[in-house]
Amino acid sequence: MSFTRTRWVGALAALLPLLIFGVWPLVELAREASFETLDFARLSRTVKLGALSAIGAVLLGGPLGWAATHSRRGATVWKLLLLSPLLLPPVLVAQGWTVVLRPEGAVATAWAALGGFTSTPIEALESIPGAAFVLAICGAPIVLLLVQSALEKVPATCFDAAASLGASRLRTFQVAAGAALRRAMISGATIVFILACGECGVPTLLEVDVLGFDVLVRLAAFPDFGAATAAAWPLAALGACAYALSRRFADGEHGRDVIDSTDPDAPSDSNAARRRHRLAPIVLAGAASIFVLPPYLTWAAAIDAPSLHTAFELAFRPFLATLRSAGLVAAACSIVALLLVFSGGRAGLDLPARIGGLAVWLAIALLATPSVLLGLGVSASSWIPGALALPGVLVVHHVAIAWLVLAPRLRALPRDGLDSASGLGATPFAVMRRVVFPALSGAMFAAFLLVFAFSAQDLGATALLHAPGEETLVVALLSLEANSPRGVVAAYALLSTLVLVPVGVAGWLALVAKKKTGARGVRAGKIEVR
Amino acid sequence: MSRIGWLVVLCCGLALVTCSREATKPRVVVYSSVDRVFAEPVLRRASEALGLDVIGVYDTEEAKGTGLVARMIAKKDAPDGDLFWSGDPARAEQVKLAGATTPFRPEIASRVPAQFCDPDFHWIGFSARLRVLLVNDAAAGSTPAPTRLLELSDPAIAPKVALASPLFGTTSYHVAALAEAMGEEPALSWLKDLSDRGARFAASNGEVKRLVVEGRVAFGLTDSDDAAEALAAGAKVRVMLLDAIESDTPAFGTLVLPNTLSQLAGGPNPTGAAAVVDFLLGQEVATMLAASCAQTSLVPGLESLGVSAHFPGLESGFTPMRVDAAACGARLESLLPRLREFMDTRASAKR
Repeated sequence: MSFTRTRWVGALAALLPLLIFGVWPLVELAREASFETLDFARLSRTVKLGALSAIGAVLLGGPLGWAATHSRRGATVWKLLLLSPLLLPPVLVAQGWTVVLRPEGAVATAWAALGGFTSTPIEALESIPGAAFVLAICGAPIVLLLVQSALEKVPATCFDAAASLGASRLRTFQVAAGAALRRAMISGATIVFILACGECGVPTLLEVDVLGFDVLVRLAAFPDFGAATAAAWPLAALGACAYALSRRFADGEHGRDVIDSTDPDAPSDSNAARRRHRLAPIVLAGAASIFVLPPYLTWAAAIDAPSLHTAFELAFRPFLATLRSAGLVAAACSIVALLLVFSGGRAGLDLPARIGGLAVWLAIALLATPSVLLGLGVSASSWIPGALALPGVLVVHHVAIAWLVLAPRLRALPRDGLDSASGLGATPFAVMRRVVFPALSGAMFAAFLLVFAFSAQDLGATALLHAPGEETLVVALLSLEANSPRGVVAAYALLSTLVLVPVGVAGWLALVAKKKTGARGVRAGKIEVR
Repeated sequence: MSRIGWLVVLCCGLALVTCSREATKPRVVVYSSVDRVFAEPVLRRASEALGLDVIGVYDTEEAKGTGLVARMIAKKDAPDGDLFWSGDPARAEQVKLAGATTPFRPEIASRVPAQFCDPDFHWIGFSARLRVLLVNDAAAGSTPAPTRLLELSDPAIAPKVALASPLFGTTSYHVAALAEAMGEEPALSWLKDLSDRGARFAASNGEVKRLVVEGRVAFGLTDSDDAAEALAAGAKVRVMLLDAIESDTPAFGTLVLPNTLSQLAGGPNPTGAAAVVDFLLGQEVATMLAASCAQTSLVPGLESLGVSAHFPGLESGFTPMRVDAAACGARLESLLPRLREFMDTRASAKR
């Protein structure tokens, strides 16, 4: 099979699931839609929520990324704690904060003692800035990873040279790391913006009337699938616009930092140790204590032994179901994204590349579409087998994340290698196996981990499509919540976090170990060649 | 470890967790919008008693029913469930109107009062909650507690009142019942008065309970199971029945919210479903629901042992609101767009 034909196959194979599980369900629903005039006030509130969340995530994640780069190993626990919201559904974090800020709680008491405030903490949380606060905490880990990666790539010699030439510290930082940081923050802000705009659970819980809330109201109160879909179109458009805008500002390097933050094959700065800063661990510990720990501590305080026992009993099957579902989705996403990337190739704008490009835009728009709508559409399409419905929806919903991770690494591959291999008669499969896959394996693992985290916390599509008896941890927790004893809910929430975090941590440690091994391997290789 | 090694480990792990489940008994899937904490023990007991694998699919507060009603409607051509156990007739009616249920008439259904059954037997009521007022006396201060529903919009009382959004769940059913009793315009006007005078519209009945327990409002219109949970947790609140005594002034009676059972059309195990229906309509479940969430059986002859003194049974003398549940379900269809408009206007006014 020729390379062109292989790229055709790759493009179509990547496009097909997007059409089946993404576009078709929405078209199916839209056929019933009674399109109303778009409520621009609601759209503007959605944009405001997304923008505030993105700004909050950057303001929080940026300094944390700096601190993570400049901290010692002892700060790993704080880093993991700061990354843990990435594994939790935002609605769970929001619930945690409603308990922390309850009127009879310590925060409210202290707030009242200070005096001079017109609203209580809980009232402040139940607003657009409050919802943005929660979404910023959930999005900050993404920015943290990006900024850490960007800073690690800046050689220490740049700082040394600038300092020896008499530049101030601020100027040095601006010149040496400014461009990389800007790109990282734009990438992070874009992802957080898209996810915040499409969020349904947090606005509903905090009674913030944005498009995500509107979608749920239309589904639950009427239930009018068509109207809900009509309300979701602006979300998909918002996602695509945000992506286009950020590409412009990120100099076409969108996503490179995502991959380098997780990819063991990415270059890292061997002189990082020289740049440790004594304030860094304090920043990490302070941020974790203020923004992440309070809900966990509140849950922990509500737990007693019988509650813990009950929660253990209830969590076992959902834990396995979560591993199954998220693992399968993450693996499939990595493969689809790889096909997508490969179909684009490096040849420019031939037809397979254009199809691949179309698929990418579709994937970005689907990332911004609430997964519950995709789930509804798939349910309505009775010809789609039930067993494929949930994995299919989650794959098309999250494939954009995997693509963002993989695409820059493929672009970074030397073209000579690929051309020489094909010129020497290697089959596309051989090139894929011997050149592309080894170069991308680390990035694929990184994509796997990120998609695993996002699909494990999905609520909308999973609540709708999970097979009976196969509910995930998140769905089980939120179904337990109503009227269950507070201790059981708290124990289950904490347990869900505790069982999911180690999965992420294990993957992370594997990456770190591989990074070290990989670095040694490269050096050994060079010596052998000499 | 080589890359192939990593892949093998990954595949093995996935295969392990994928193959960990076994199914040996015939399965009956019950969709339940009743709170999981109350429904799950009943279904587990049904599994033990009937030798079936009775699996529940539950609702989540955050999804506002989309996880359940929407799921049943969306899957009506290829359902993966057998029964729908609803916490109120409105959702059962929604599913019926969407064509997702089939008529069924177990023997015991003939004993259930006609007002609690669908005329076409698409759903059957079997156990009831009450619509109650949860009162926090400390937060009420000198404001007297209302005894009638319409008094909630009194200018002195309304700022201290919370109720759930009328777009969802039992509150939407309550508003539909009001509209049936007094007409749509007066019902909407009452809601508007409540809103204009400062009443709080919460996301759910559970949220109403939380607001009252925390003392953020003094009076909360909610369901008896939420109230029972607050009392069980030791909250300093009390429970009142509104319009419990008939008099000359407009009185509607206390709203009774029957739990309903529906059989999903084309469900995979109709035989098993029939056995589960008989179990759910029996004495054991009546006792369990009375003890766990203060429900009263609607089947004459069954005893609701253990119902708290705060929640009198239907036979105990309070005036139940006369409601045609099927008519309310139909009314809800026409009322919801207007309620949506009301909530939109309210949200705009708040901003």
